[in-house]
Amino acid sequence: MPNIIDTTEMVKKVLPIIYVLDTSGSMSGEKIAAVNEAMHETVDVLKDISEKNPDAQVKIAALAFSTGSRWITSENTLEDLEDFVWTDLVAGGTTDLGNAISELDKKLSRSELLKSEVGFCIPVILFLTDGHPTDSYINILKNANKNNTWFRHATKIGIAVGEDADQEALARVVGNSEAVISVHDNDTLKALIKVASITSSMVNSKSRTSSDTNNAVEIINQTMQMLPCKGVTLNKSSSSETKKTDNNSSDYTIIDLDESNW
Amino acid sequence: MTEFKPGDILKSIDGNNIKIIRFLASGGQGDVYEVEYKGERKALKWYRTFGTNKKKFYENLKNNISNGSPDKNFLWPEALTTTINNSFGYVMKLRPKEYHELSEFIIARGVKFPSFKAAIEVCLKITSAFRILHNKGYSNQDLNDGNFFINPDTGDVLICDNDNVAPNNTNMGIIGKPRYMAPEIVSGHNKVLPNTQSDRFSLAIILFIILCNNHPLEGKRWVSIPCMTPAFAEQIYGNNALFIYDENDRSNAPVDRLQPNVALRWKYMPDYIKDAFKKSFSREAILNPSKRLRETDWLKVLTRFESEIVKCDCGNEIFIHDASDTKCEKCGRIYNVKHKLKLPEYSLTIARGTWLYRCQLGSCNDTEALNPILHSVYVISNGKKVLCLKNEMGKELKAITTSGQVRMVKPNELVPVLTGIKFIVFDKEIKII
Amino acid sequence: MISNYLIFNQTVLGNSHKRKGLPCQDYSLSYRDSDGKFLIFAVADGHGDRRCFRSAFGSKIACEVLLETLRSIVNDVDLTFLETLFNDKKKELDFFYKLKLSILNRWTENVTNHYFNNQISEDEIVKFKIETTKGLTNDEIIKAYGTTLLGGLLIDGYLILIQQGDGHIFIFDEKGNSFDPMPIDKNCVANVTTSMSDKNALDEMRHVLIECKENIVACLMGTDGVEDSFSSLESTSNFYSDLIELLLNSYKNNEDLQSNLITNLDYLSVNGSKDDISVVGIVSKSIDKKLLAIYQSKKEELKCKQEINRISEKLNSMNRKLSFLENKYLEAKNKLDATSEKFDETKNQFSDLKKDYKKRNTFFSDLIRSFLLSTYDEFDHKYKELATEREKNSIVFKNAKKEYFEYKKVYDGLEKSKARLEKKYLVLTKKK
Repeated sequence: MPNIIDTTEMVKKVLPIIYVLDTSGSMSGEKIAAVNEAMHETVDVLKDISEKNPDAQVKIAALAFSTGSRWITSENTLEDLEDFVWTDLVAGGTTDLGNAISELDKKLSRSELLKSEVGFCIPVILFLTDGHPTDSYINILKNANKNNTWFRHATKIGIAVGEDADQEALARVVGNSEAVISVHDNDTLKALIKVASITSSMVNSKSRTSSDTNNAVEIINQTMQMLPCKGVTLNKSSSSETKKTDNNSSDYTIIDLDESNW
Repeated sequence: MTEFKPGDILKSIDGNNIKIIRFLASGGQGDVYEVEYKGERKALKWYRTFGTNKKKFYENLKNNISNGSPDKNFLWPEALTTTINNSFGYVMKLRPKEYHELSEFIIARGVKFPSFKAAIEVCLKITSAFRILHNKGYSNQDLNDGNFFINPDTGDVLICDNDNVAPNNTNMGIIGKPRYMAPEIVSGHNKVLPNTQSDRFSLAIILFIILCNNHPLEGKRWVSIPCMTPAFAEQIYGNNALFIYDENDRSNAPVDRLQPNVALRWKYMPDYIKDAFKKSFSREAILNPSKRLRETDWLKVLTRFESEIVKCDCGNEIFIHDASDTKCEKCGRIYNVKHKLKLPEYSLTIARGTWLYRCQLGSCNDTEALNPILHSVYVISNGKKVLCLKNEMGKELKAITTSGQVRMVKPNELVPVLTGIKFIVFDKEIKII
Repeated sequence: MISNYLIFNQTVLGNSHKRKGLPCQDYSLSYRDSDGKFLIFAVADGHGDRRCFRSAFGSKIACEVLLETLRSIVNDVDLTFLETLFNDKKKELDFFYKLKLSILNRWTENVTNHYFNNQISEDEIVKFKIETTKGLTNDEIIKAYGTTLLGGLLIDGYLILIQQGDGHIFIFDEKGNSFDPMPIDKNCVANVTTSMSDKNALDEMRHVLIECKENIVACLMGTDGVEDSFSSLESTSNFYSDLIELLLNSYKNNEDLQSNLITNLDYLSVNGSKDDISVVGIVSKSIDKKLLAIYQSKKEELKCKQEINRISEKLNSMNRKLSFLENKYLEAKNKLDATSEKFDETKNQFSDLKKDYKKRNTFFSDLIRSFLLSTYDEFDHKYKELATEREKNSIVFKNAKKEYFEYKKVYDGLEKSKARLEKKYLVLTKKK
């Protein structure tokens, strides 16, 4: 009798949670301190919760971007929670969002970060920025969405820190203006990072058809419910863009038409 | 294994050299090569198989060549080759690269029509070319989506595969392509042969496919058939065929979920177009070839349709209903029809780029059907934008001003669009209202 | 030829569905023509999404429609026809387009009819948390029955396979290799799948026509409840080769195949994906011991490789923390050393001072004595401070050292295991 029982494996799909964090000059001081504190606390909480999660095994990756981007976690693999240590980020430089996205495009593949033997749930990517992108990110974003299925299907959430944050850019990146949350004070920022991470880790891994993409919004809604109200605004979909009309741009002949003749 | 290699030289029957440059493609009946003939790059079609009567086919081809092309839109055989290894071929112009097969437009994944108006212009050109062909006494006998090559940018049409074109009621043994053959041919089982009447049915199918993006006989009945055996094919395309929008019988209506495009298109078709299709594919027309729409009938409805398509400021194409103000479904703006041209049979909206053709005034000769009469353009006069009608006839046009004076409009002269101006063309009066 | 193949199908209710009281949303069937001319098999996985509350029916209808449609064409697809199809790509595409169109049409019709003949029950409303305030649109109705579908027909030496949605088909050849003959569906990634209810299902549906000579010994497929129980396609392939062995043994020993299958699939659901599990397939009776032995050795190889990969991954994951702890440890060590040095220095200075004081104690005047006393106090204070600091740093150092070395021990242990397994893998693969 063949041992099917032998070949059975206990398998928990991996849920990658990827942090893409703005460490530009404007983040220095209290903002980056809040982020650092948040990450320390988040990791601890995640460790507790993930043990009890029957559907998924949470693994982390973190990418910092300012002038260029660099991986905080390993470039070869996602890190297990028990192996994840947070080394404080230092802020300084510009806001090269495009560089970060192209790095994601490169690394989100089964031959790079997603190298695991175990199957994956749809990754969750948390983007955090406080300013405007200083490099051209739109084409990079288009390419990533076109060529990288993991990026395209990933549940993407945006956190806009402060008034100067480019919410439109974030909305473009995460693909949905309703998946962007704005924060205006550091305590809420801390809480938000923590809560968003926790909620993301519990995203259900039910089989869905490819037309369902509500995860990001569900995460946001649940997060909003768990946060104190002050200091957080949710982006509502902007009003329909006024379309530029393709009006009569051809050159007209200028003549002297004497209408009185007619 | 192709018959020829690059560098081989053949001879045409009038003694000229045909030098093989390279192999291009393989078709149903033969192979096509790029060749050099009389100093120019041309195409050579070399046959591998023949229909029923090789000699008859050869003679027919020879005749066609000496009669010349019926119209500039036909890619016509130019020179016949001598016989080699019991086979022969002919030389014709090369098809330019910008032209794409009609079937590529139908899949709509490769090439697309730049606008609906462009699609209608293609329909007009195809119909007009066939009118000319038929009135010269020929019938195509193998009209299908592989015969037409369209330049999506200019809307020009090239009609190819004229191998089997023969005088009406003479047949070369080819009966057509499945799905495009007239019902009597399908149910005739090789005993009923193609002619101009069956060409007309095929033409109607092609027009429907271009405008509505679906085959006119392929609806619910067709969808339920898992495997198209000859028996089933006869049910769908033969004498029992049923139009998907047949007035009396809805059992072959399109299946919404699997054929969503055709319902959308059909909804926007003006009534006279719908009627034209309903008539061409009515049970009567299926069974009685003489009831089918003739080319002139198509030209009339198509030119009218073309003039009723205008562009909204938001970029969407609007189908003007009854020459009156129509709302754009995309942005909600109302398109104001400020002026109309009252024709003998209906009123034409005067928008930017409207054309008036000869056939819209009534019956005329085939070659004159698409002769342009008037074209509307915007010009700047005294600092403002004025809509004018340009005389495209190439000769003087008689007009009557708002005050009753007679004026002769020179070729290319512009007439401002003002209510009350009349034109007398080919003994018919048309008025701006 | 057809009689040379065993055909089977089995579905088990998923462990997670059992717990939540949900119905089995998988369905499978297998059919052997009574004249022995063809075999048909089908398997379908109804979606678990809340909106797909009738997917259990959707999957059943999908399998039945596939069976019905394939049965209706067997008289039209004789050997000549199939050979033509196999050699003419355009004819093949036309044929499959028609077939898929007909399948989708029948499925849509049947699920729509089912909906209108079966009102939503109270039970369904509770189980699936359906909002009954508004009626369902046509699209929502169809979505409620959403399912994947895989299946095929074996006839006249040709295998016709159809697939809509995720899941993999495994074809085993006479050399012991297995492969999935279907073109890839880019839209099926992670836990997202295409569906029979998709608007463009006709474009998404995949097919393949395989010439099936003696080289095809088995064709098996299942719902994603199977694959989700394994970490890779290679593991899943091994599972199927085990099933092949199970089938052949049950057949040879006249055992109850069904109960054997149920036991194994149940176990898989409980310990693996927890999802509903279905498998169907055809297996040639001509599979011999040699082939079975190849399957076994593949299993061993894979196990070894998987373990190596798992360890490599873990090592990668641990790298950063290891460096981090090492740095912490070294920093703590340096700090401790620095403190100790300072402490020792102060201690020596202090003891020198004490000696000095003792020596001169008797000779100095009161003024000098009080001056020496305050210096003595200062030193005493400094000495005590340094002692505490040193102790503190010593504790930090001890902890850092412990943490680092413990972590390093695990790391080194893993590295050793990996090396061992790599040697073993070389041996196994050389054996070929």
